[in-house]
Amino acid sequence: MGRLVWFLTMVIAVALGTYAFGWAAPAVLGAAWTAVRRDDAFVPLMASVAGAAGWGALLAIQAMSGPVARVADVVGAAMQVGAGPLLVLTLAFPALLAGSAAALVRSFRSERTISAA
Amino acid sequence: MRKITSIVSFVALAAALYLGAMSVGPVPPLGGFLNPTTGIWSVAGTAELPEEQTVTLTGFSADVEVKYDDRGVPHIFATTEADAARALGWVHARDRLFQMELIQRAVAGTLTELVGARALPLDRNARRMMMGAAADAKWNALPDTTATRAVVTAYMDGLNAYVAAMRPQDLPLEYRLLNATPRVFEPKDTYYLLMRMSQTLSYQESELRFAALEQLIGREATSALLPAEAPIQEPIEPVPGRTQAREVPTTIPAPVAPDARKVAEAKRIRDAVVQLAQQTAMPMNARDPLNADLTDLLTRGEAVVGSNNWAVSPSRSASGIAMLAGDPHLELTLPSIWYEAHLVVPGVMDVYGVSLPLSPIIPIGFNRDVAWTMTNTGNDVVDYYKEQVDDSLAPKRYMVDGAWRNVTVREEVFVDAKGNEVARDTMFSTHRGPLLQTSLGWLSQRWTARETSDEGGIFRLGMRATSSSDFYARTAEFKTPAQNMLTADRQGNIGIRSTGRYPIRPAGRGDIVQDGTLSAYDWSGDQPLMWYPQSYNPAQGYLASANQQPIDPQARNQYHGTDWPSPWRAMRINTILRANPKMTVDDMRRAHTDPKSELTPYIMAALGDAKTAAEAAGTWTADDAAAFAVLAAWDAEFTPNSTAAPLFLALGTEIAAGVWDELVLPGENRRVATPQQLILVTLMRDKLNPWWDVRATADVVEDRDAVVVDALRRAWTTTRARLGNDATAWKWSAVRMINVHHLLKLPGFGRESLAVTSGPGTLSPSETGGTHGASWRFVVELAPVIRAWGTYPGGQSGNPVSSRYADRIALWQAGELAELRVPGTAADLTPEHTTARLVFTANGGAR
Repeated sequence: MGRLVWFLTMVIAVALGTYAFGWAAPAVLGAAWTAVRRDDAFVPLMASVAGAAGWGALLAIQAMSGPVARVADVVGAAMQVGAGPLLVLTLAFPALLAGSAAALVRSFRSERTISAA
Repeated sequence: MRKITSIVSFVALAAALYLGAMSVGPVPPLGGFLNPTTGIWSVAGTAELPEEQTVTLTGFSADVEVKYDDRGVPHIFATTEADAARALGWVHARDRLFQMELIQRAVAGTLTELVGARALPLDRNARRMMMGAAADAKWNALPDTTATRAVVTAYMDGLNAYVAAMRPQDLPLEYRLLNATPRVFEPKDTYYLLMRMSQTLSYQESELRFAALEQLIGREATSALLPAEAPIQEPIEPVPGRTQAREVPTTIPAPVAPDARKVAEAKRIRDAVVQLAQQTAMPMNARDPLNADLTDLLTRGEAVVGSNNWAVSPSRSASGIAMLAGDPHLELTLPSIWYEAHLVVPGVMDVYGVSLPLSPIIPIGFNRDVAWTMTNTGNDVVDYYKEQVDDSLAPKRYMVDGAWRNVTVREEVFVDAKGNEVARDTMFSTHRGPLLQTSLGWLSQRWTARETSDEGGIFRLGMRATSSSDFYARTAEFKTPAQNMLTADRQGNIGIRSTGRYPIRPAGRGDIVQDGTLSAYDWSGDQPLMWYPQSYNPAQGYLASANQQPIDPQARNQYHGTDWPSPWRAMRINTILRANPKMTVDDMRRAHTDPKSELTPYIMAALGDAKTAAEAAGTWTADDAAAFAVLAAWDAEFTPNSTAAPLFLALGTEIAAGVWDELVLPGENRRVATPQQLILVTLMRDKLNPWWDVRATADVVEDRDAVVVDALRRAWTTTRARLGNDATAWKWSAVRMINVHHLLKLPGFGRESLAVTSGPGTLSPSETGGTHGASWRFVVELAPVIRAWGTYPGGQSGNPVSSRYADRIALWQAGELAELRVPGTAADLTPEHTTARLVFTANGGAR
């Protein structure tokens, strides 16, 4: 499978994983993706983007059933951060989970590969 | 490099997982909070009501149908009262869950468990005031077999059933922000809510203010400033043949110059006032406990809760049909204190009105036969007793009639959400109530709200009245908070009765601190019903109340309290009703936001006299003339665009500052108490009264005209400094506006800076904070087919992202009312007026 397919698969997996198992799913999936795509140096970056995209997709689905923008306005004001930063935070959080997990696993694998060599 | 990558990745992942799982300061755990499927974003999916929903719950005796109309009002059609209550509990929970939890905890003194240690002062005061204990006692006093107990229990069952079956996305936003979950509610919680209403409406004390003033200015002057007989009488109980308010010939005695000892004593009493306020104040207090803010003096001293109601008999309405109108004024919040609902149980009740979430009752509303509404009576229901105790630091006994009695000592423990102890206090009480330590010694407090009574049951009975007289028969035992209950019925009867507990005090008046060592000073009973202020089908053909003194002492002299709010609103309503013998529904509606105040002519007349005097003395300046011209051209209406109203307010404020300087303790800038506006107006009829002399100018003796001219100059200066030199650009809405804050005052959850028609003494009185106002306005026409109109400043939903959260504010702000739909059966509410349908099935089992 090419990178694009892997990426889209990851986006869907993050969305479904979050729906089924909760907010930590992007971390687990990021780590798992790295384990499977051990030779791809871009996996941490792509996992990060896929984490954000997965939650973005879920937000888009929510937007079909209710006023997500109003939630951003109201909660952003209550937290005194504003709607935009709240939205960014919502996308950055799964990105950090997936990306850092992927990077961590990749760094371990790289060390083991070097040790083995 | 790889090690660095590992470390950085590990730290980033660990931090993300930690922030996801744990709260940091006020920030909830981000994982669950931000999760798009179950976190804050999921609230969007529950913002609106599902068009069709079926809920299966145990407890229902038959199916219950709930149809929401196009204003979001649930019409509940049930076969038993308990089923209707159970459905209402569920419906309230869906729309107002957090509000109900907040109210219960505020009364119980357990807010720390929800919001942490920052709520400790409020919790301490609630427990010190024994609010929860009193509510428990009221509930426990209900016999197990009473219908009220069954109905309230069913209501809580419905509420708890909703909570138990909530999906993650149903959790209100406030809980998410606080990282909290709902508690399990108990039937007695309804009585917590009723205690809260008593605290909001009937907790007023004047004893210590009277005592402090007495030291500062002497007893005679004090009795005149805080009088048992208001100097202008427009009572609730009409006086036959009277066609205008009665101005009582009154001379305000000059203040007695206090010596150093009396000043010190006044200061000690004032300190006790502060200490009591600190120990007992809770949110939503009807009055500033100190009344001592030196800003905005014109309105300080007046109650900020200013409810109105009035009714006309068929002889005074254009349609020949009785009509009733009401606007209870309370703190305005989002969500609103009220929730509109319609309960139909064929053969038992068919009642529409505003319910109070956390209860199955509709305290203000109408059925097919009779409409009822309330204003607050404001009678004297709090007394203080100076106790002699055995230990001034930790009393164990107190003296009564020469014998020691045991002080009730209790340990109160406050915990946070995790059960960790936040504080532990020792609190004391006597047979009279809480025992409070002040600079005057130990004072115990007796309050009617802590006495046994069953307001829940009485409201329940009242909802099913068949006529005005039947309503009064059913509500005769209502005790607290005393309410001016106004009714109109389909037979054309109108009536009013100020119903509540009026304690009999062997010592007479209750506005002084009593001697606690003598049981003779304890209340000896309640006034009988026939003594209550009341009127039924008066010859004048109309009735009105606006918190004014209920009975003119000249007509019937019974002690109900002192220091009554100025009667401007009562006078204005009566003026409107007297002037119009053929009132229409629209006339009734317009009166709610009538822009005029009966206070204005008094001040304008004094200003005119002062101008004449200054011109004669040659001291009238060009600036004086410019300021006067602004006020002279004014239509005396407190509309948002009024240019002169800000100057008028400043003028009144400055006049009050000039007059009441004797009430400020030497060396301080806070007054001991502020008399009501009508005392100021009374003084205006006495231009040479020594009160007009300004203490700071020892070499000059000012009269009324000098103070008024000086006040005009100061007002002109301050208003120009505040709003600019161009008086034509001034706007009342820049000075006075309404702020409807969220219950937690969360930014973004409220609707602030709303321009409205309101002013000092108007039917919609205003105050600096703009936090109080007409919490519900409605008009009912008691026609063969009943018709009603109403609105409140908020919306039915407590979900801030719902379209029904604040959708009524614009209508309320404009002074308009929406027609209320009152279907007799579910089928009567047509599909075009139906927005959602909910069916509770009686099959049992889980949802």
